[in-house]
Amino acid sequence: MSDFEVIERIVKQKAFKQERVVGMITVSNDTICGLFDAYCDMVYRIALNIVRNNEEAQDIVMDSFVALMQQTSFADETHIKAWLIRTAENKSLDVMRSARIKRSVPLDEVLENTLHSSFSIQEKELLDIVTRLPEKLRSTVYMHYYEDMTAAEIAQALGITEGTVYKRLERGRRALRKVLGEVNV
Amino acid sequence: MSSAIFKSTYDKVRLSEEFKTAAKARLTEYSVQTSVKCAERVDAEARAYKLEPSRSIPWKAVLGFGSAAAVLALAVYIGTRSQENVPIDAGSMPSSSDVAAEQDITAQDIAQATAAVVTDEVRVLDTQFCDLDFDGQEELLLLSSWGKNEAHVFEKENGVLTESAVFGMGKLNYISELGLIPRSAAGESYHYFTFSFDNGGVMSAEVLAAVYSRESGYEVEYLLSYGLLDYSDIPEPFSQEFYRKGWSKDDIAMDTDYDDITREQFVQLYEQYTGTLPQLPEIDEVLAEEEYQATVDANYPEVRRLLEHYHNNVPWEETLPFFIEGCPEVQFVWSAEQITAVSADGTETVVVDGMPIHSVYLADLNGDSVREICCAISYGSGIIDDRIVVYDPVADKQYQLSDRGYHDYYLSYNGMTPLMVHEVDYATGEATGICGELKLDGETLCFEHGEDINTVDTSDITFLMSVMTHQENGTFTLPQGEPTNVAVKYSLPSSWEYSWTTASYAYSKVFEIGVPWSVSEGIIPEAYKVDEAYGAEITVNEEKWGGEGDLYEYFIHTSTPMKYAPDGSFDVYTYVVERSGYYITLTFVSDAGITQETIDRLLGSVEIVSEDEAQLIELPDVTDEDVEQAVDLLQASGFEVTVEFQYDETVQPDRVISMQPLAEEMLEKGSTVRLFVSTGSREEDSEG
Repeated sequence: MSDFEVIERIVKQKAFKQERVVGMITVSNDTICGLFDAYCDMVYRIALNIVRNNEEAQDIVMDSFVALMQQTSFADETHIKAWLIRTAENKSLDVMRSARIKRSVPLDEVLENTLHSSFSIQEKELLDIVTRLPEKLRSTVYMHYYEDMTAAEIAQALGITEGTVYKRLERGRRALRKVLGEVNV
Repeated sequence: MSSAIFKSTYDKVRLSEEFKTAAKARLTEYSVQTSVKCAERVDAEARAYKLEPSRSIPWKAVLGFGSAAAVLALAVYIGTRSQENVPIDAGSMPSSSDVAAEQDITAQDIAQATAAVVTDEVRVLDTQFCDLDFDGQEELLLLSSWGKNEAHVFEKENGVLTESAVFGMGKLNYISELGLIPRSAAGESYHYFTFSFDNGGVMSAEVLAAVYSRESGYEVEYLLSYGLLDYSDIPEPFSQEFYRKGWSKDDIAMDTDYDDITREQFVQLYEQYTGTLPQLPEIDEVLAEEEYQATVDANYPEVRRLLEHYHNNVPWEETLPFFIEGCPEVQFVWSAEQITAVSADGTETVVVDGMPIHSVYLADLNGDSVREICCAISYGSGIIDDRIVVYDPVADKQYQLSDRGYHDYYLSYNGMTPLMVHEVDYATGEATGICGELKLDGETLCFEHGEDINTVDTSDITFLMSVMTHQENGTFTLPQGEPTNVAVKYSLPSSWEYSWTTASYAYSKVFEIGVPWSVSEGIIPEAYKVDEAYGAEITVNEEKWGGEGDLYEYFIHTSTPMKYAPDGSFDVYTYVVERSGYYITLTFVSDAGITQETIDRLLGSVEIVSEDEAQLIELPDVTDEDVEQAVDLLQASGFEVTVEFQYDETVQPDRVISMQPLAEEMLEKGSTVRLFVSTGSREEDSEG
């Protein structure tokens, strides 16, 4: 994306926030708990994929939904989901860049001390590989293979081009293939 | 791969039910915090009037129906109680001196004010009492949220509560509390407040602002901010801390009305405004600097931009200290008129002077591993020219590139090309189009004359335009009338990249074509002047070129250069071209300089083609292109795209092997194109 397009997108984001259109979804007391139930685990998985730290991931979940409450309205629930995905990823990357996480937590520690579920060897391998992918690949891979999102939907959610989505999926697929065998996009 | 393994794995990655329950309770509590604050204040007022607040206040039961209803219910409750002749302990009856004066704001006033502000879409985020205008009487402030925040000021006089002012609209973003602290400085009393700004996108910041009570009303001023810019999905992603000083009283636009300052200057100003030191996060400055250098300047690690201003934008009152790696014992200090070297013993030596020194870069030109100071300066009095001055700190020598009376020279650097010199004709002030990399050849400062970027190629670009967007007050709307589908062809210089309506050179966007309007529609270009671009007001410098009967005539609207990222600034030029009875808008965005000759050639090549001819679109050849760019180009051309990956021994990974249909076929818009993209050879992949 060129610098001009970055600026254009910032301007459009501001314009969107200024719009007041009757009929949009309003995030209110009534809707926030329902939205939390629907998307908290998704936000948590995106955050955990990147930060590999349960406490930080939980903080990111709370921060994301508190920030959601400060947004007045969305066109529809698809936009809310996309907003949450983007916010979760941005906040997770912020955490990584702020170096608040001083050490990389071993995956076993994350799984055993926080998730309290039994994972097969293959499932552990999958989590380990996904959470060790380059940071920007993790969310793309997760959204495609777990959330069943199309390249167009992922591109919209993350604010990237479809071509970038394809490239990220291909790189993620190659890394996963070593554990999981042949993969088709 | 089936996604089953993904499903089974991530199904188990979830928050505990205990966490979810606690989180929802916190979110619910957060959403009614303002109601609670209001109620707490009401509680206190109720005690003052000897009304007994009950733990089973009925308004708590109606919170689920929205804060407005809650507050109204509270008001009703209080009103009801006051009518119930609740016994009052005579011994605790307030004396006449304790009775609230007629202008004191009561619980009912709070409820009334809140009800006046709250709607289905607007919420009250915070409530405060503050003597905002220093008249000895506290006003009631409600911070409301509707997309953006604004503060409502209520005053009471002669027993009547009125909303006396609203301030901060468009200026108070993303805050949930209005923490006002009084302050006096420079003979003026005001309140300052801090808040957190986060647009959920590229910027997060802590902001210090001030609100003044003036005869004309309340004014909000953006004072300082510090935060993080995070561009994560551009070709060279980076994050960077920033420190800014606001200079506009008209708007707090976090990304426009400011000057960049150093962290030290920020701390100094913050203490000056507030009397306290800011709580800045610890910054690993070395790491941040290395990361910045690694990402932005990855292509040319020997070059670093210190500052880059134009003649009318040099901060004359400021200084910028800096060090050069390899010369740790010397601190250099830039000011508008000179660069000074300060040695360890305090000795100061002027190494560069100018009037002003408007751009400074550090670049190792002679290969001695120590960067030279490369400056673009204005020189002379009476007759003034712009020249390049380079100072070598190791040899303590200065070099100059000038051509007084014939050419001016400027420097530019965007991280994608070397440190470039641009030549300008002295007489006309027009860029000659001659530019090249700054070099030190022995004792001679020079630049390599690169390819003339204005050589026009005959590779025509054809595209259809059918949607018009008009920017007004920050929103994009469709115009009145029906835009006509037409195809426009134009030619580009051979070294330029292009995609649909845009063209770029060296990663800088330099050209964008807009939408034509039929003259018969009654549309006139003046109605679609661009008054603001990217947050910066356009200084209308209107010239009409050509005239009646000429092939074309156009208007020029120029904007002031604007910094939008540490990479640099750019200029925007908008032209309206009348051709074949249509008005076509061309916008140039460039930090590489556009010559009039190039503009004329581009304008001259613009033509309208027949609609029949434009029905089919030629399929661009994207074989061997990067898959990301290929998909973008095809989609921008109007095609649907599917991508299939396969091994290939000869084509590099992520590049297009072949396409179906074949390139250059004429297809209908919306046709599907299959791309076969290489994943490399099977052997390479197994080696991983």
